Amino acid sequence: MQYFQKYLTSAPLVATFTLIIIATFLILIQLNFPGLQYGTYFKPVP
Amino acid sequence: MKRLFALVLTLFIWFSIVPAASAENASLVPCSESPAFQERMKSSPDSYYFNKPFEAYAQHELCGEDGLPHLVLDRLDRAGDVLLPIGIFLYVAGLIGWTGRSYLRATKKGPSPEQKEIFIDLPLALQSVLKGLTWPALAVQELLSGELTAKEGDIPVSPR
Repeated sequence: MQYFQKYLTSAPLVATFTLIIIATFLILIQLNFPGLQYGTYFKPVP
Repeated sequence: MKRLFALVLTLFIWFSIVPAASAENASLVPCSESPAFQERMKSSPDSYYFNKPFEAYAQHELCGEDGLPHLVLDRLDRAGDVLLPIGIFLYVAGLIGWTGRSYLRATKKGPSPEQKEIFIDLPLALQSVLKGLTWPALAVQELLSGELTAKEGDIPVSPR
């Protein structure tokens, strides 16, 4: 089990997990604030 | 004589380069008034993820003749449209860089720095990320204390 945990902390896997977390975060932002892009920051989206 | 020529050349270049007239691009109209944009809005699929962006663009964006929102660079009141993304990009780039730097510097103090590059020390990595969030302040602080740059004596100079 401890070897498996160590394997999970290997650099390529941590990078993959980090990317998945960032992608999920960005997708959630887009889902909650559709139309958010240049020109609509800090402006109420209808 | 050489200096005189240089001066004449400078004057020539100085006066022949006229700054481009900074007129506003008048072909851009608010998207809500652009017929091509209205057409696009009508022909788009009727769902939340198409309607909401179109409504947002109609309210805030300027559209060209193609009916698409354009990024405007010729007026100050829209400077935020460009500066914000640039600022976010620079901040995130700095965050990534500072995080990696502080992680590597922290592992160098430990017993097996090479191993920690292959197997990430997660608590240390998270600490580095948190540190990286304040990177602009840290960078200024390190620059002032001289930690950010190498000392003059450490830079090798080839013999002349």
